[in-house]
Amino acid sequence: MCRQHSACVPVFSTTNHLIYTSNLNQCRPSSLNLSCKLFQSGRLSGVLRFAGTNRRVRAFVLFLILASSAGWAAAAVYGSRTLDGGEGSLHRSPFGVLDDLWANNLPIDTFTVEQLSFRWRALSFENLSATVSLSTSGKIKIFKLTECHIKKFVFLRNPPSKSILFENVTIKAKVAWDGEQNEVKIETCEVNLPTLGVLHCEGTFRTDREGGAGSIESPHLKAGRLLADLLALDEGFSLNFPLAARFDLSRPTPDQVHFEGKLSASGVKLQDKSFIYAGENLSPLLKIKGAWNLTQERGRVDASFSLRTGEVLIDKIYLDFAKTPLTLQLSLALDGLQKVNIASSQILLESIWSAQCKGSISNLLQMSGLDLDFFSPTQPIQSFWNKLIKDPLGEVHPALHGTNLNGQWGSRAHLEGSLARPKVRGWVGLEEVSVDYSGKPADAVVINCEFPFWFDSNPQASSDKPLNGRKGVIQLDNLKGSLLNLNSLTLLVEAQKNGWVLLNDVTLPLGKDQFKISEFELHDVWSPERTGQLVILADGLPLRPLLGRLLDTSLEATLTSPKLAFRLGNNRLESLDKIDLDVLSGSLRIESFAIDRLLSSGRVASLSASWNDVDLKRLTDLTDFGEITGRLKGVVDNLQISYGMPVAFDLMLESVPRPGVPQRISLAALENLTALGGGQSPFMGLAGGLITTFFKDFSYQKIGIRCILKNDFFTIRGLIEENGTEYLVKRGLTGVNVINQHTSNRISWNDMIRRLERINRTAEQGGAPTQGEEK
Amino acid sequence: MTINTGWKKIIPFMIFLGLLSCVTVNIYFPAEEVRKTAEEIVGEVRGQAEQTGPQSFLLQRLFQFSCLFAPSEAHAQAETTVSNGAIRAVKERLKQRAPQLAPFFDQGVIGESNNGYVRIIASGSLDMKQKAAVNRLVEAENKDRRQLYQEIVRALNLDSSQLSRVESIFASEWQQTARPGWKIEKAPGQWVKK
Repeated sequence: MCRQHSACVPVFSTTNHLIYTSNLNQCRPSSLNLSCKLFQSGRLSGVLRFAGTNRRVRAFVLFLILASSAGWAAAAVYGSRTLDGGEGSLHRSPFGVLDDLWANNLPIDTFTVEQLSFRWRALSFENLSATVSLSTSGKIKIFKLTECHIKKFVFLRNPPSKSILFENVTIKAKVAWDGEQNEVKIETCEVNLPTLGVLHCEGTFRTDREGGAGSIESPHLKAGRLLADLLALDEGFSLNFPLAARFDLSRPTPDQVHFEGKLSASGVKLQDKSFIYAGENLSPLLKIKGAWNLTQERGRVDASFSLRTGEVLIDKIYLDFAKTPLTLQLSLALDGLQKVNIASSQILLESIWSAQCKGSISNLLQMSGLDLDFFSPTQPIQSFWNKLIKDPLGEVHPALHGTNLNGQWGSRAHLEGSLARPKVRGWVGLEEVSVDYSGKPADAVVINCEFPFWFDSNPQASSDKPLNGRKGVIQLDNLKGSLLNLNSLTLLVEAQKNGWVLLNDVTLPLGKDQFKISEFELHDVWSPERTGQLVILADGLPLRPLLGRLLDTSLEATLTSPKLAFRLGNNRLESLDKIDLDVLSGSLRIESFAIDRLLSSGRVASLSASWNDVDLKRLTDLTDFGEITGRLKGVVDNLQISYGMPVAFDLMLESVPRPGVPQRISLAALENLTALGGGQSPFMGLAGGLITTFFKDFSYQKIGIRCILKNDFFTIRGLIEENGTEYLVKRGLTGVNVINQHTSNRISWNDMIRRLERINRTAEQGGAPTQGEEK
Repeated sequence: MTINTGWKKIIPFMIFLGLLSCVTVNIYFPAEEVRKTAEEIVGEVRGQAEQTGPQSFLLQRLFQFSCLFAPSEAHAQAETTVSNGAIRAVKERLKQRAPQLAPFFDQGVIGESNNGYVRIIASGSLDMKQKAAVNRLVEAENKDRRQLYQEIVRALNLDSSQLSRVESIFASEWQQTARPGWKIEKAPGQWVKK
């Protein structure tokens, strides 16, 4: 009892009965907060005075109630640090108190505690009632805790973590105390936590020197809910399994506690309400062994965890532990309960992946002050790729479906900072990894690389020691693509903070020619605001192979821009320069070329272009449309291509008279043009038949066509207007006019495709369609 | 300065109108166009687009006769639906995936939610491999549906904030075309068998 505070004096006293109210927290702010009524059956005032002033006695009360569980004590110390940063420590164990108690020669035989509420660090007890009887057998005093009932027992945690609550906890215990031998023996102790199960404790401890051992055991704990609370899982997360637990404690020296424990479960089933996580028949086994120095507050822990049965689903990743067992080995040294040195740790997901980790964590609770090295030794890549990348992501990214990888891989990374704001630097290495898309290993690209990366969650932060980027090499062999065909390609890259820079000029072949990537940089790659730059030198590069691949045509085109610079920003790649080409004796200029939503499957390429003096004969010779001679100029505005198909454009084509260049249009071209526009063949009937017999082409004065695609509908208009008539083709002195009679006519995408297919078919059969089809 | 009493009455009203005119809210949303688009796309994905005329001889003749007076399908489509290459590409992917999803709809494992996406309702009857398959399918389906709705918003030049309205219209269409026995979400969290 504290003599300095009036709140601590007895408020009511009789000879045999004392009601006592005390707020010990006022006396010792960081210690026990007590409010209770004690009913004395013997002389109590001395006890109370002793209890009120002696911290160790208060600890003893706890000790009795919690049955000396080192696990609970550790939890309390852990919790106290999370909650209020107290100075809890294991060496202040209650064992030493017994001398004092014994010396006081307590005259009590029974006492009852009612409505005791107190908080000790992170452990809060509400409405504790208990009866403790004390009997003597020779020199041995026996404490018997009967009918101990705690209405609420809470393990408090800092928000946002939820505190862990147990209601209606009951405890029964029998503790024998041999004053001569200085030995405390917990003969029986049973803690019943209704939602968790029953903990059985027993053991013997010396109070004056080393020696003693004890154990806590429960064969059947319903640990699912507790684990869900500890891991802050959703309310709807179903996690039910019986857990068998046993911990053995010993005290080989006065300041050393050794512990060894095992937690095992079988038939674990879990399922979250959003169906992202699920598990069945899991049998986890956790073994822990270690020692704790009570004086130095240091210890070591060796732990192993294994999962050898059951299946689990983690989002889209499916693992069968019977086929790919998971084992985890951990050896760490604890300096206090804050700092951890990981001497070694290894995770092995058999036949899929293994990794090791070493390093230190200076603040374990906040997971900050990380200094960890991760190392994944060289191992086969095939199962890792299939099980953890291709199978889970193949449905969402179909391109992964047909991609096969073989070879070896490994990686190394250094993690620093905190888990909330990590910095990671390292590399991924591939050794003779063959990548094939077609299932033909002979065509596989072979990759050897040490690809560096550097992730910093706080890119703005300046480092005390400016770090250089890590350099790496990517070697690609056997590139046998339809566009790129070369034996070997080497890329030198440097990982800078949240980005990469290409260090060497990379020369790539295109057909028989080549172009050069002279600059390639990516910055802030992990954020949506990623930026980058790409510069290509390709002056005079023939694009026929590229266009042949993209458009299935043998169009002659040569790049005349000396430099093509592209900028990446806001998820958009755009050309900074105009792109000039020589096309079929004419010139073409591409302006405002861009690819939007670059990383999405719905990326859209857009451009506007204009051309002049294009040789119509050479152009029409590339198709089965029918021959037209002359020169062509034109503009395409806002051409948008998505999923490989045009989404919108506004196209204008006009013939340009040039001296010495004949302007003629063939019969087939005329008919196809008419068919495309939805009109009927001009060569129907007897007269038409006669004309087609004698004439195979006609002269024209001008061709002028505007074609707009919008919302999947084409509009075809003539650009030549005379006397209220709209012409697509205006004849010369002789020939045929093609007139647009339905100026508001719109052709659906599907209809246009059908018309083009018909034209194609007819051309293959060696004729022109005799009749256009109007929708 | 004196102000006429009649004017005094009008001034607050004019101030109110003036204030109102400062706030221009674009509330245009082509609901009918989106609904028709949803009807067409969902119908095609669910395999109902091929439904043309009646099958009996007499009804067929009557149907053909009535078509003489009705606007052509292409014309109707032109006026009321939205489409482009991107929408068609996504639609094609949805069509290809539909047969894979159907058995899980039949089993009640997945259902049509009220926000235009597929949701897993109860996968307890499935083994773990099937659960993984369902998770993958549903994610791919929802990614494509989201892409589809975004493409429609873009094609109609709508503000991205209108996405939820497009989703809601499609939700109704997905639910209407769900087969009998499939689960649909009437209100948030309230799943019923159709």
